[in-house]
Amino acid sequence: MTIVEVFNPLVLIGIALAGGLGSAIRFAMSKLQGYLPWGILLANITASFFAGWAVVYFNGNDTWVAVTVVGLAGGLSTFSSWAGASVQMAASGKAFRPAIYTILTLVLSSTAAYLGLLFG
Amino acid sequence: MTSRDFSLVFLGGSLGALLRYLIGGSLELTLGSSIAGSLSLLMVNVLGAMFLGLLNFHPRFSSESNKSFWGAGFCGGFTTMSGVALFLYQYPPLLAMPAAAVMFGFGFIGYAAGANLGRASK
Repeated sequence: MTIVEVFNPLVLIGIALAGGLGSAIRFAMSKLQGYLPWGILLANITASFFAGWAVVYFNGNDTWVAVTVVGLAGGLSTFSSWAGASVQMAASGKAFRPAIYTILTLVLSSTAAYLGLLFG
Repeated sequence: MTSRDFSLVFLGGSLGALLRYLIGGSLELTLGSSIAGSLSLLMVNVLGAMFLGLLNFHPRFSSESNKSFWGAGFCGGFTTMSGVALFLYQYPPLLAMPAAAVMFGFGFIGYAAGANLGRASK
Protein backbone atom coordinates (compact mmCIF):
# COMPACT_ATOMS: atom_id res chain seq x y z
CA MET A 1 0.00 0.00 0.00
CA THR A 2 1.15 3.53 -0.75
CA ILE A 3 0.63 6.51 1.53
CA VAL A 4 -2.10 7.81 -0.81
CA GLU A 5 -3.97 4.50 -0.57
CA VAL A 6 -3.68 4.33 3.23
CA PHE A 7 -4.95 7.87 3.75
CA ASN A 8 -7.62 7.77 1.03
CA PRO A 9 -10.51 9.82 2.54
CA LEU A 10 -13.14 7.50 1.08
CA VAL A 11 -11.55 4.51 2.79
CA LEU A 12 -11.22 6.39 6.08
CA ILE A 13 -14.88 7.49 6.04
CA GLY A 14 -16.01 4.00 5.03
CA ILE A 15 -14.03 2.33 7.81
CA ALA A 16 -15.32 4.80 10.40
CA LEU A 17 -18.96 4.27 9.38
CA ALA A 18 -18.65 0.49 9.04
CA GLY A 19 -16.67 0.22 12.29
CA GLY A 20 -19.35 2.19 14.12
CA LEU A 21 -22.13 0.05 12.64
CA GLY A 22 -20.33 -3.19 13.56
CA SER A 23 -19.76 -1.92 17.10
CA ALA A 24 -23.43 -0.95 17.52
CA ILE A 25 -24.54 -4.43 16.35
CA ARG A 26 -22.06 -6.07 18.74
CA PHE A 27 -23.36 -3.86 21.56
CA ALA A 28 -26.90 -5.11 20.93
CA MET A 29 -25.71 -8.73 20.76
CA SER A 30 -23.64 -8.38 23.95
CA LYS A 31 -26.80 -8.44 26.08
CA LEU A 32 -27.14 -12.16 25.34
CA GLN A 33 -25.40 -13.59 28.40
CA GLY A 34 -25.48 -16.73 30.49
CA TYR A 35 -22.88 -19.28 31.54
CA LEU A 36 -20.61 -17.52 29.01
CA PRO A 37 -20.91 -14.17 27.19
CA TRP A 38 -22.79 -15.86 24.33
CA GLY A 39 -23.60 -12.63 22.51
CA ILE A 40 -19.95 -11.60 22.21
CA LEU A 41 -18.97 -15.12 21.19
CA LEU A 42 -21.65 -15.08 18.47
CA ALA A 43 -20.52 -11.62 17.32
CA ASN A 44 -16.92 -12.84 17.03
CA ILE A 45 -17.95 -15.96 15.09
CA THR A 46 -20.22 -13.99 12.74
CA ALA A 47 -17.55 -11.34 12.15
CA SER A 48 -14.88 -13.98 11.45
CA PHE A 49 -17.12 -15.70 8.88
CA PHE A 50 -17.96 -12.38 7.25
CA ALA A 51 -14.28 -11.29 7.19
CA GLY A 52 -13.25 -14.55 5.50
CA TRP A 53 -16.08 -14.26 2.98
CA ALA A 54 -15.34 -10.56 2.23
CA VAL A 55 -11.59 -11.16 1.72
CA VAL A 56 -12.38 -13.57 -1.12
CA TYR A 57 -15.53 -11.87 -2.47
CA PHE A 58 -13.93 -8.39 -2.72
CA ASN A 59 -10.53 -9.72 -3.77
CA GLY A 60 -8.81 -7.08 -5.91
CA ASN A 61 -10.88 -4.18 -4.54
CA ASP A 62 -8.80 -2.81 -1.68
CA THR A 63 -11.36 -0.17 -0.71
CA TRP A 64 -14.17 -2.68 -0.17
CA VAL A 65 -11.84 -5.12 1.59
CA ALA A 66 -10.79 -2.35 3.98
CA VAL A 67 -14.35 -1.18 4.64
CA THR A 68 -15.85 -4.66 5.14
CA VAL A 69 -12.95 -6.53 6.77
CA VAL A 70 -11.22 -3.80 8.80
CA GLY A 71 -14.35 -1.71 9.35
CA LEU A 72 -17.47 -3.87 9.64
CA ALA A 73 -15.97 -7.22 10.73
CA GLY A 74 -13.36 -5.48 12.90
CA GLY A 75 -16.02 -3.39 14.61
CA LEU A 76 -18.37 -6.34 15.08
CA SER A 77 -15.67 -8.53 16.62
CA THR A 78 -13.73 -7.72 19.77
CA PHE A 79 -10.67 -8.99 21.56
CA SER A 80 -10.84 -6.68 24.57
CA SER A 81 -14.24 -8.05 25.67
CA TRP A 82 -12.83 -11.58 25.57
CA ALA A 83 -9.92 -10.43 27.77
CA GLY A 84 -12.20 -8.58 30.19
CA ALA A 85 -14.68 -11.43 30.57
CA SER A 86 -11.92 -14.04 30.94
CA VAL A 87 -10.05 -12.10 33.64
CA GLN A 88 -13.26 -11.38 35.53
CA MET A 89 -14.36 -15.04 35.39
CA ALA A 90 -10.91 -16.16 36.55
CA ALA A 91 -10.88 -13.56 39.35
CA SER A 92 -14.25 -14.75 40.65
CA GLY A 93 -12.92 -18.26 41.10
CA LYS A 94 -14.50 -19.76 37.98
CA ALA A 95 -11.20 -21.02 36.58
CA PHE A 96 -12.83 -23.49 34.17
CA ARG A 97 -15.01 -20.93 32.38
CA PRO A 98 -12.29 -18.70 30.89
CA ALA A 99 -10.58 -21.81 29.53
CA ILE A 100 -13.80 -22.99 27.84
CA TYR A 101 -14.55 -19.47 26.62
CA THR A 102 -11.06 -19.08 25.14
CA ILE A 103 -11.09 -22.45 23.41
CA LEU A 104 -14.60 -21.87 22.01
CA THR A 105 -13.65 -18.39 20.81
CA LEU A 106 -10.46 -19.53 19.11
CA VAL A 107 -11.80 -22.74 17.56
CA LEU A 108 -15.21 -21.40 16.43
CA SER A 109 -13.89 -18.06 15.16
CA SER A 110 -11.09 -19.63 13.14
CA THR A 111 -13.46 -22.30 11.77
CA ALA A 112 -15.94 -19.58 10.80
CA ALA A 113 -13.17 -17.63 9.04
CA TYR A 114 -12.17 -20.78 7.16
CA LEU A 115 -15.79 -21.37 6.05
CA GLY A 116 -16.03 -17.73 5.00
CA LEU A 117 -12.88 -18.08 2.89
CA LEU A 118 -14.38 -21.22 1.39
CA PHE A 119 -17.75 -19.68 0.50
CA GLY A 120 -16.46 -16.27 -0.59
CA MET B 1 -29.93 0.24 26.05
CA THR B 2 -31.03 3.65 24.88
CA SER B 3 -30.50 5.29 21.51
CA ARG B 4 -27.92 7.51 23.26
CA ASP B 5 -25.95 4.40 24.27
CA PHE B 6 -26.04 3.15 20.68
CA SER B 7 -24.89 6.54 19.37
CA LEU B 8 -21.98 6.62 21.80
CA VAL B 9 -20.98 3.04 20.94
CA PHE B 10 -21.22 3.91 17.23
CA LEU B 11 -18.98 6.97 17.65
CA GLY B 12 -16.45 5.16 19.86
CA GLY B 13 -16.43 2.16 17.52
CA SER B 14 -15.82 4.46 14.52
CA LEU B 15 -12.88 6.07 16.27
CA GLY B 16 -11.44 2.71 17.40
CA ALA B 17 -11.75 1.06 13.98
CA LEU B 18 -10.21 4.08 12.29
CA LEU B 19 -7.28 4.19 14.71
CA ARG B 20 -6.71 0.43 14.27
CA TYR B 21 -6.62 0.88 10.49
CA LEU B 22 -4.25 3.86 10.73
CA ILE B 23 -1.86 1.97 13.03
CA GLY B 24 -1.87 -1.00 10.64
CA GLY B 25 -1.41 1.24 7.60
CA SER B 26 1.38 3.29 9.18
CA LEU B 27 3.25 0.16 10.25
CA GLU B 28 2.87 -1.28 6.76
CA LEU B 29 4.30 1.89 5.24
CA THR B 30 7.29 1.89 7.59
CA LEU B 31 8.02 -1.82 8.18
CA GLY B 32 6.56 -3.52 5.11
CA SER B 33 3.53 -5.78 4.83
CA SER B 34 5.25 -9.00 5.95
CA ILE B 35 5.63 -8.00 9.62
CA ALA B 36 3.15 -5.09 9.90
CA GLY B 37 0.01 -7.26 9.89
CA SER B 38 0.97 -9.45 12.84
CA LEU B 39 2.65 -6.63 14.79
CA SER B 40 -0.30 -4.24 14.47
CA LEU B 41 -2.73 -7.02 15.42
CA LEU B 42 -0.72 -7.80 18.56
CA MET B 43 -0.34 -4.11 19.38
CA VAL B 44 -4.01 -3.08 19.04
CA ASN B 45 -5.35 -6.15 20.84
CA VAL B 46 -3.02 -5.96 23.83
CA LEU B 47 -3.27 -2.16 24.17
CA GLY B 48 -7.05 -2.31 23.74
CA ALA B 49 -7.39 -5.01 26.41
CA MET B 50 -5.18 -2.99 28.76
CA PHE B 51 -7.19 0.18 28.19
CA LEU B 52 -10.48 -1.66 28.79
CA GLY B 53 -9.11 -2.96 32.10
CA LEU B 54 -8.08 0.55 33.08
CA LEU B 55 -11.37 2.21 32.23
CA ASN B 56 -13.49 -0.52 33.84
CA PHE B 57 -11.95 0.34 37.22
CA HIS B 58 -10.81 3.96 36.92
CA PRO B 59 -13.20 6.43 38.61
CA ARG B 60 -12.86 8.89 35.71
CA PHE B 61 -14.58 6.40 33.37
CA SER B 62 -17.26 5.19 35.79
CA SER B 63 -20.25 6.85 34.09
CA GLU B 64 -22.45 4.82 31.72
CA SER B 65 -21.69 7.27 28.91
CA ASN B 66 -17.95 6.76 29.28
CA LYS B 67 -18.37 2.99 29.43
CA SER B 68 -20.47 3.01 26.25
CA PHE B 69 -18.15 5.30 24.29
CA TRP B 70 -14.74 4.09 25.52
CA GLY B 71 -15.55 0.51 26.53
CA ALA B 72 -18.08 -1.08 24.16
CA GLY B 73 -17.34 1.52 21.48
CA PHE B 74 -13.68 2.47 21.33
CA CYS B 75 -12.02 -0.63 22.85
CA GLY B 76 -14.40 -2.98 21.03
CA GLY B 77 -13.81 -1.25 17.70
CA PHE B 78 -10.08 -0.85 18.28
CA THR B 79 -9.50 -4.55 19.00
CA THR B 80 -10.46 -7.37 16.67
CA MET B 81 -11.09 -11.10 16.90
CA SER B 82 -11.91 -11.56 13.21
CA GLY B 83 -8.42 -10.24 12.46
CA VAL B 84 -6.98 -12.97 14.71
CA ALA B 85 -9.11 -15.62 12.97
CA LEU B 86 -7.90 -14.50 9.53
CA PHE B 87 -4.33 -14.20 10.80
CA LEU B 88 -4.37 -17.93 11.58
CA TYR B 89 -4.79 -18.69 7.86
CA GLN B 90 -2.33 -16.11 6.56
CA TYR B 91 0.72 -17.63 8.20
CA PRO B 92 2.05 -21.20 8.54
CA PRO B 93 0.45 -23.00 11.53
CA LEU B 94 3.80 -23.34 13.30
CA LEU B 95 4.10 -19.55 13.35
CA ALA B 96 0.43 -18.57 13.64
CA MET B 97 -0.59 -20.80 16.58
CA PRO B 98 2.21 -19.73 18.98
CA ALA B 99 1.68 -16.10 17.91
CA ALA B 100 -2.05 -16.36 18.69
CA ALA B 101 -1.25 -17.99 22.05
CA VAL B 102 1.13 -15.13 22.87
CA MET B 103 -1.55 -12.59 21.89
CA PHE B 104 -4.19 -14.24 24.09
CA GLY B 105 -1.70 -14.48 26.95
CA PHE B 106 -0.64 -10.84 26.69
CA GLY B 107 -4.26 -9.77 26.24
CA PHE B 108 -5.22 -11.53 29.49
CA ILE B 109 -2.26 -10.06 31.38
CA GLY B 110 -2.81 -6.66 29.73
CA TYR B 111 -6.41 -6.45 30.92
CA ALA B 112 -5.40 -7.50 34.46
CA ALA B 113 -2.58 -4.92 34.49
CA GLY B 114 -4.93 -2.18 33.26
CA ALA B 115 -7.50 -3.14 35.90
CA ASN B 116 -4.86 -2.94 38.65
CA LEU B 117 -3.76 0.46 37.35
CA GLY B 118 -7.39 1.63 37.39
CA ARG B 119 -7.93 0.37 40.95
CA ALA B 120 -4.73 2.08 42.09
CA SER B 121 -6.09 5.40 40.81
CA LYS B 122 -9.04 5.36 43.26
